[in-house]
Amino acid sequence: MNRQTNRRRATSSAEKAVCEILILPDGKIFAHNITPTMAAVLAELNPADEAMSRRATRKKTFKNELPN
Amino acid sequence: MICAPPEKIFRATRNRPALARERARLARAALADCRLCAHDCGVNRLAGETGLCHAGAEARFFSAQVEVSDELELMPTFSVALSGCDLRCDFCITGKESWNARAGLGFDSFQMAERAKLALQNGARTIMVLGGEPTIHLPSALEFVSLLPASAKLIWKTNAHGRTQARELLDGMFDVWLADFKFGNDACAQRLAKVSDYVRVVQENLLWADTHSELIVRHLLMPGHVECCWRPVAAWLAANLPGVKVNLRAGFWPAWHARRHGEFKNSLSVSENQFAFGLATELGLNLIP
Ligand code: SF4
Repeated sequence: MNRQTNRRRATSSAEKAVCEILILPDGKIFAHNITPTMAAVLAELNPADEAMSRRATRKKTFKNELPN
Repeated sequence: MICAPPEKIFRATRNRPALARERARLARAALADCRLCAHDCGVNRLAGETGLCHAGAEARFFSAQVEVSDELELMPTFSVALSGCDLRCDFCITGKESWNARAGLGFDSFQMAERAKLALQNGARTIMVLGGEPTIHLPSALEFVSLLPASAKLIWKTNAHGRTQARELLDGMFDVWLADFKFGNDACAQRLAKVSDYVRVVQENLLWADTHSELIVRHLLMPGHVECCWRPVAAWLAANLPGVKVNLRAGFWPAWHARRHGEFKNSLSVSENQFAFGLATELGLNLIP
């Protein structure tokens, strides 16, 4: 991989909103750096997850995802 | 009627922007003989020397976005992650950027402050500075603070491995210290994060933070480390910081170099999870979501 490519990758990861998820074979989902939009998606996936629903409601108080 | 003891409320100093500007200047000068963290390297970062964190004089960042994954009472937060760290946790979830102070983009305090102010206008409740470890980039972090409104609620998310000099520069700058207490003994800290004298340094920082700001302590439960790490951490918190807010996190995932360690081949078991939370209840810890 040349330096140019490295630089482009660094730029995109720092400038775009990023949320990582990991799905285990037993169906458990882990997530970090959860943006308000992703919280809404995760809350839809498992409506019984109270902690995620509470995070998803935070989206309502946040007007826009930032233009990154 | 039994009244709950009043919550300690800290307000960052009202002339914070001006004070932060001055502190940023002092912090930058301190890089000439860097002893910001407990590694106490004494290198001249202004002249291009690097210590154990490998950070130069200018900070870089690898993420800046609004998030809702941290402590609920602080969400949504505009979260700025600076590249590089002074610890080497093999299970670090952002290992690629946290182990590499050159990762990401150059940190422009002015531009980042504009983005943070826009986030506040849009409904973010707090601004969080984290890493990697932000202590190693204290000059840039303080420059950033100097450009933020004095009324903004600022969070310092740290591994609590700073030295006195860093704490003095941080005094009154952040409303909340969100500090990790990862390991309950020095042997685990040495094996998993390549750091010595860990427990004493972290405890010193936590005691200081509790008297100088609002403090939230985080502990990430690690598979196979409930007895050796969580139990002593929980016992110490109960005895020395009764009532402190504790976020006990159960979402360990085997990131980065975790697979170098046999115990991290599996995720946390249900019984470990139950035992850990039971212990917290037994010790009367103030767990927060
Ligand atoms: S911040 Fe810590 S690890 Fe980095 S050079 Fe300074 S004392 Fe060394």
